[in-house]
Amino acid sequence: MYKVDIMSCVSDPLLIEEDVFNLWLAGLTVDQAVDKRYKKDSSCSSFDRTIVALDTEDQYQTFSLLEPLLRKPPALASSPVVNMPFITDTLLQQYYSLDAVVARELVGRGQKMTAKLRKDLDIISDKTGIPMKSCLRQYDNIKRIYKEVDEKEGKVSQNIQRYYGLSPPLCQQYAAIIYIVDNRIDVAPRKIPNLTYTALVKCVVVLMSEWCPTSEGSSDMDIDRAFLKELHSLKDRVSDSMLVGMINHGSESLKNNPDYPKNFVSEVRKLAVKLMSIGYSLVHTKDYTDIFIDLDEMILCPWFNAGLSLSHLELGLSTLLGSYVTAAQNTGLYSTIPIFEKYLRCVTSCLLVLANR
Amino acid sequence: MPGIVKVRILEGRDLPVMDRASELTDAYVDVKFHERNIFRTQVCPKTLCPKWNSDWFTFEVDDEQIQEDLLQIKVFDKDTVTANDPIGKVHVSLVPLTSPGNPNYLTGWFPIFDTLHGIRGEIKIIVKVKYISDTKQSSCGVKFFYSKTVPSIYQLVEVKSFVEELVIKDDPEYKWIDKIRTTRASNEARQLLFLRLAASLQRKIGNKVLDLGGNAVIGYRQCFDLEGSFGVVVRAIGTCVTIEENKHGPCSSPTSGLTLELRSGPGPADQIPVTPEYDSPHKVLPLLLKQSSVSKKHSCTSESLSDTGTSFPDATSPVQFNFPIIQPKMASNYADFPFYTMGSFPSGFVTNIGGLVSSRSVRLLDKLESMSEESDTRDKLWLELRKEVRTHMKTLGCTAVIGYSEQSTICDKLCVLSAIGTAVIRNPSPTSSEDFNPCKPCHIPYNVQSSPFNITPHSCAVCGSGKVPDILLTTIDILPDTPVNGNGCFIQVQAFRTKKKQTGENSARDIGQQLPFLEYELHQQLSHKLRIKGMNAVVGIRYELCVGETAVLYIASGTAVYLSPLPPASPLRVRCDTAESTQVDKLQEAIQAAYEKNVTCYNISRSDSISGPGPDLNLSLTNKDVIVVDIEDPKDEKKIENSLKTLFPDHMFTSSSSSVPGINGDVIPFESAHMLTQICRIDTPGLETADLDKIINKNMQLLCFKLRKYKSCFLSNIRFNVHMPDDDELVILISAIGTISLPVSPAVRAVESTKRRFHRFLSSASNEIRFCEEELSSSLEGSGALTNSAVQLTPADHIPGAIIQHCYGHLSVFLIRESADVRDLSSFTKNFIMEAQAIMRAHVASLGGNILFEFRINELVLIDGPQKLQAQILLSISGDAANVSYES
Repeated sequence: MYKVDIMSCVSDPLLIEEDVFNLWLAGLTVDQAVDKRYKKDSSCSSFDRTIVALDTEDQYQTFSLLEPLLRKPPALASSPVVNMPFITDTLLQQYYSLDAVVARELVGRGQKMTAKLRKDLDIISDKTGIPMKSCLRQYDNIKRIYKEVDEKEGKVSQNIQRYYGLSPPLCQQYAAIIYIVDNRIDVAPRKIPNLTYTALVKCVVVLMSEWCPTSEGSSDMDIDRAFLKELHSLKDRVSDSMLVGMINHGSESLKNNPDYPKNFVSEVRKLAVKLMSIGYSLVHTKDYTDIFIDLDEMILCPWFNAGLSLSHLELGLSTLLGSYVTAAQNTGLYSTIPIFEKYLRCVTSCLLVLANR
Repeated sequence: MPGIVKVRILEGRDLPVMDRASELTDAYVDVKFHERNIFRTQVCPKTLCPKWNSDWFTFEVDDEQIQEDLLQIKVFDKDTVTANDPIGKVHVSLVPLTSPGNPNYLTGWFPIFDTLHGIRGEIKIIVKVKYISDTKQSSCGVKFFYSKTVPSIYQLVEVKSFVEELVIKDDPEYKWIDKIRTTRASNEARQLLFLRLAASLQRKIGNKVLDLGGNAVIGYRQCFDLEGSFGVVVRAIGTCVTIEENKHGPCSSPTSGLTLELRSGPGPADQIPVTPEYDSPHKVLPLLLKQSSVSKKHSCTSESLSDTGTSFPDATSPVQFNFPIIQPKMASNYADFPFYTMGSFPSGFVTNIGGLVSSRSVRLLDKLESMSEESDTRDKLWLELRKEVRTHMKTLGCTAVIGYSEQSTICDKLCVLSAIGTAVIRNPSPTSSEDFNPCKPCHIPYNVQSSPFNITPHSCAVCGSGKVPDILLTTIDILPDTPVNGNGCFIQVQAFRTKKKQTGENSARDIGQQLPFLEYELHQQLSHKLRIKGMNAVVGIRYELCVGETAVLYIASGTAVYLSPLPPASPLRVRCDTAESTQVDKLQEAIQAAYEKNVTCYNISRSDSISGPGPDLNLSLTNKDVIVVDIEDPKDEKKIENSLKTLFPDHMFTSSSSSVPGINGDVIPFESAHMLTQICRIDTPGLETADLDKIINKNMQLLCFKLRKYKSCFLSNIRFNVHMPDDDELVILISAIGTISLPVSPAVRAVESTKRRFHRFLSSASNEIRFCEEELSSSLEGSGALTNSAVQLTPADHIPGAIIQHCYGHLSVFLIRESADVRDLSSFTKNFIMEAQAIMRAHVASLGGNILFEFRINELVLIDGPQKLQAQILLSISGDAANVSYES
């Protein structure tokens, strides 16, 4: 019986379809991709299945040839071989796109991008329903970008943008993932099941921009130790009496308003105490890595269990900031104001994002 | 004439990692020209983007060396312990720099190519050529064009004559030394040899052109015949012409603005260029034979295709050459052959078209070897073939053969040579075009009664006075002004036969016997298909004959068209004595339905000019024009059913050349174009004609599928190349260009334009990043080459809306790629073709060009190794480099 063993089409400029590229990225087999194409693209309907399959196979082949270049975007841009003027950038963005579920799992493992994690990808694949091939690509992309920008000065997201030319939101995602992985922030889904990938990225972006060290030669991937030390020293500098004063002051301003639930004032007091204790301990690495878990367990869970709402939280936090400033002014601890502000501003943003369940 | 070649090696980028430990490379470059001293740059340590910024390396060379040799640039990785590793090579031909009018320098990024690894980074160089004295006596002034027409910036002054040349050399692949040297060395030696042979061939032809008093070659065709252990034959044919730069400025239409003056005509004397002391050879025009005396011929088709048929000279044994050694005066030799490789002609050049003339011969290479000088033997073979074509031409009462081409297919020791062209009567004085009838070229030039062919002449449907055949086949494009009904479309048929595996004379005899039947089958199918399409002529027809160990394939493709002067296509009628009548009726209905559909689809008007055999078949039964096909077995039925299939969707315009007859190519708005090259390899055991139909159909469908999103799409320059590299492997190469005009919906169009804008933004942004490094501020670079990606490759000879600013002449690239680790042969091939295109783009850009017309894959030889993972591909590509600007 005769056999056709090569059937391949070279087009110049390259004629490839974004939709098929996405199917390839998603790790679909040619057969699955053909089904999808028939469903999605009405222009396929007038063609025989074998033709659509041949074309899919042909495009898959082209993508495999492009893959080494997609891994090295500067090479893709300067490659004399690849002639596809309009679509290069789209492909690049798609190639580096992340599935929220997969990325959430990857950062939740509490491991750097190790070989062991790579082996565990099949578990992630099973759990998320994303094909192995796609998981592998996402893992490799993170690992590659991590390796490229690790120990580079400046903002991680800008470094990623410079080398990979990805869109700003995507760069931020990678920067956040690298921050989590590099600092071993614990976001295990088991411990903090409510935390979505989007919320996580938002929080980390705030963390990176608010608490990054300003000294020369540092990167926003580093933790600002100096700030955390100062935050820790607040415990010694801020006397208990001042803290009591601050809490009382805050309570007073709230008491007068009859619209709030009865337990609101007492909860705000608890909130203040817990916030201060979290702040004090952040200087310890272990506590820093648990920051999201602590915020969730110590603050959000009790708050909502007490039947209070998100808007109450927002109000409570802003009241606390105001009363701290007043209390500090009263006691002459002016220098602590910026530190506390820096702390509370960031924690507030994170809490509001995290609370948005 | 001696000249000075100066070379500077500037920098490299994206070099491969040669040192695993550091992931870097210590690169240096060797520059070599014509076995002279090798210049070496310094080593640029530990970088993948070395900046050598070398001094000028100077070579003093003579004229012949400049034309026949290539500048070799070799990039190495310096290793202290082990031998230095080669990274790759760049071959640069200096011929384009010597041509007057072209810049005398080139600069740009050239991909560094290695036969075992493909492209490995790029290198930037500057090359300058300076002649010490005048170049007038040297053949480097001669311009070569693959294009079958004169590029529009030139004016055709005079068509001189046919030029040909042939050289033969041992193929290094088959030399004993190949057994001991490395694969890389052997591939590189082969690459270099082929390139040198081609260059030397071109120089020889250039000298002939100068002798003839011309200054350019149009329709240049160069072929490599790989005869295995017998060597490699490089041969080329072309048409010697005199051209001059168009004084009226460039014009976008390829044919307008052409004036044609033959020397015998009343052309002003000052237009006749150099070397007047040489007598123009073409004055000796062959006589028009009034009475045909050829008797040995047989008409190859019973259906009066106006083909002269082909005669097969003694196919089994080499012919004894009785005639004396070829005349020393080459010029008179050429005068014997009024052959023109040009494919399109200005109106008035041709008075009458006679029909196809072809000739073929089957040879055994080992029997040729005993002959004295090898290249002489090959020369004689081709000479014999040409003589036969000339005889046929005379039989048709014609004075010239245009659209002439030569082809060979080799399988082991068996070699089939064929030559084909269109016999015409050339207008002795084209300038005096008083009352020129546009239908006249279609009229039969010879006396029908005395002709040896069984043809039924008809009265011309346009003028009523001339006699026309009922079907016309030509190798040339449609003549300008020829009246056309409706629009044309691509047509393709093939005949395939398996044969017994034989050797020596048996095999030659077998092939010799089979070929006429194969040809008969081919033409029968062509005629059926043509009639179903409602058309009566095929223009630009190309035949591809391929002989393998176990099979023979014959493909014909061209553009079908309805020529108004010719009678309407007579309908097909099926007849069957054995099968049930209902079945036959069904088939008949299907034929009728297909015919009706085609007539509407191709806009063929059925006005009063179509009388006689109208669509009503029952009436026309008595008409002798009706073609009756006997259905004797299911195979016949299958064949007819196959002919009914259309390869392309209705909205797609198709053509074998750059334009569709009946449609003004310039009307189609030009949006974007994609050149498509489809490779298909089939394991032939068990393959039958019907399967092959299916496979070709699939290939075509795949092309259409890729372009499906575009509502009006023009698929042009569709070409077939076939090749049987091994016992039972068949490689089909289909190339075409899809010109996309209007996307389906405004939404798609909006997306496209946004994308484009976005890209422009992106590319400007990325350029800033990429080229932020300090650029060398050499004066050469200021005027320097365009970026390689800006170079467009097209198989067409012109692009609507593009104005040619400068023609740099032809370029050709010959590459070998080999690997012992081929996981997927399909993608290996694909990647190699993409790489070859990239190399071609780099050569065009280095000269300052932004387009390559007439892009052709001339040869693609794909060989699988005995081990499964091994493969080798030989690729020869070519085209005409130019710089164009677009009308805004």
